[in-house]
Amino acid sequence: MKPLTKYWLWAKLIGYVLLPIFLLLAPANLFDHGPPLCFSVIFLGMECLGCGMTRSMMHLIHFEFQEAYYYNALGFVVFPLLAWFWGKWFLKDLKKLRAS
Amino acid sequence: MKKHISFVLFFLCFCLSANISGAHKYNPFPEKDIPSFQEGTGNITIDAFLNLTPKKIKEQTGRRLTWKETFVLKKAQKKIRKQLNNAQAYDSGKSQVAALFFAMFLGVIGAHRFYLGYTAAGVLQLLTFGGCGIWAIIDMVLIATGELQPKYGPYHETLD
Repeated sequence: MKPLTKYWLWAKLIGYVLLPIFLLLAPANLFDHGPPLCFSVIFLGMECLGCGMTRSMMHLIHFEFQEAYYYNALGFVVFPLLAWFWGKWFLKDLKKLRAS
Repeated sequence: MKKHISFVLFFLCFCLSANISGAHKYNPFPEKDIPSFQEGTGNITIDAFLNLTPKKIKEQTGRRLTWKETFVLKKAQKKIRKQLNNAQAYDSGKSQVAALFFAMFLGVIGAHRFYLGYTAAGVLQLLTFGGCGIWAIIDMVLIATGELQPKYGPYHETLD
């Protein structure tokens, strides 16, 4: 395996661990204000199914369930799936690193 | 027989009383049943209402919203935002000259449709290169003749 690929794997693994920690330490209303970045809102002027998902996740990991429901009710469905995939990706990269 | 007659009389009296007095006394919205979000805060502005979240309401009134109320709050804010957008769009001046220039130079990507507020048609033109150029030319003529108006309200400035 190339050394660059190895560094990339290490960076990914560290990112998987550090990003949730950063989001947990940051205030829950970090993404609440500011312009919408969704293309559906910018071009069509209406919210899509995923709009508010970031804010919903942010409030969910801070145990503010009502706020999470307010921003996007589908967050309750997406959060377990995301957590499952997060762990899966981490283990996958860990296996790759060990194989090398 | 007497029993039957008395029953019929009673029934008639009941129906009449229900007709006369019931209509006036029945109030579909009794005042005590209306839930109030504004206890202690007084009236709030539209901006404040649009920025309300369940957390803010709990901080202000000390009352925790139910899930249903949270849902209703979101829907109400969405509706008010939409109405505000439409009201603003009615006042904003759209120029027929600008629309014509958009149709001339950027008609192939549907810029005039976006400018006039027909977003869905604009996206369609963007994807089909202005309806293979034909639709864009048709729109150019329609704008020049004043047939194609902005979606919300008339032109602010016209050609002549």
